[in-house]
Amino acid sequence: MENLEHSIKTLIIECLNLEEIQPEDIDSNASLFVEGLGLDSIDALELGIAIKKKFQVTLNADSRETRDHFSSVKSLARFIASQSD
Amino acid sequence: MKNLVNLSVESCSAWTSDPRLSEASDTPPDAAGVPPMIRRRLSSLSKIALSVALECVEGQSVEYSIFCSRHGELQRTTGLLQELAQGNELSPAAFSQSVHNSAAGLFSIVLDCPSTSTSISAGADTFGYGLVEAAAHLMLNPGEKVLLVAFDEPPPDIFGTASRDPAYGVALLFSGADGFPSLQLRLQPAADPTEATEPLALTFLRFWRSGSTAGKAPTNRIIWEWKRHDNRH
Repeated sequence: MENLEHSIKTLIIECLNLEEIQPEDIDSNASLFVEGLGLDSIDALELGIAIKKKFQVTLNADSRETRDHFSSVKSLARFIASQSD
Repeated sequence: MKNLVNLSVESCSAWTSDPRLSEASDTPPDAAGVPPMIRRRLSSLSKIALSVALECVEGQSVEYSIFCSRHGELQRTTGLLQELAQGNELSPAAFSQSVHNSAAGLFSIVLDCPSTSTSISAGADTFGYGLVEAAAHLMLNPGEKVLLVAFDEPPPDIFGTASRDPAYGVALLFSGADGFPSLQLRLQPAADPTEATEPLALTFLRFWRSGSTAGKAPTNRIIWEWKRHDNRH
């Protein structure tokens, strides 16, 4: 799970061009959007596409669950792990 | 032939990849003055436009800004179309800044400046019509400051011969104030159409930096004439 969290952090930094941030700077439990990293709705869409591509998971852009999955790195890792089981 | 209003040139900032100009550099500007969370999404073209624009205004507010680009975000648009042709999903961040007035919108966000702006694309005469727009605005609003930003990158190779132009950004801050060198603009239809060999903004920059009092640039439609007066008191 820790490896998965690390690769999600790397993916976030790469696909959102967060040049000044290192994977270690991202708290797995912290909120990704608005607070915490300060990402916005365009980042959410961008990250959704990158995650679909890298982990071959399906995301429904409108669902309430998707919003929960995207709340932190930890919840994203939990979701991706559950899809590949 | 009619003279238009005199434009006081308060400031001029430029970058180009054209080695014949003193502003030339191989390293494109990185828009360091733009906050990182905004800068990370900028195209290379928007970085050029914002770098010269921010350097030119130095934090001053302007009442009107004119963004002039012949090709606009064509590199980004072409990239998106190629992705689409391959059946890939498009990058929302790239899509959100793939329009001609991306740089104009970003400039107003970065400076928190809600003033009016316009975007111009007019073929080889793009920069010239930007000057006409600036002159017209200052004629009606003589107390205001007007920023003109001209910027372009060569279009992608798929567009063929038009790709030979260098990348550049030229920003000029105009007003009606005394104490600055002033620019007088004249234009007339070209009787003998000439294909311009470089972007008009770079021909102007060469003239303006040379200190000459008169310059001329024919395009295939118009002969642009510029006169410079040094009004320092």
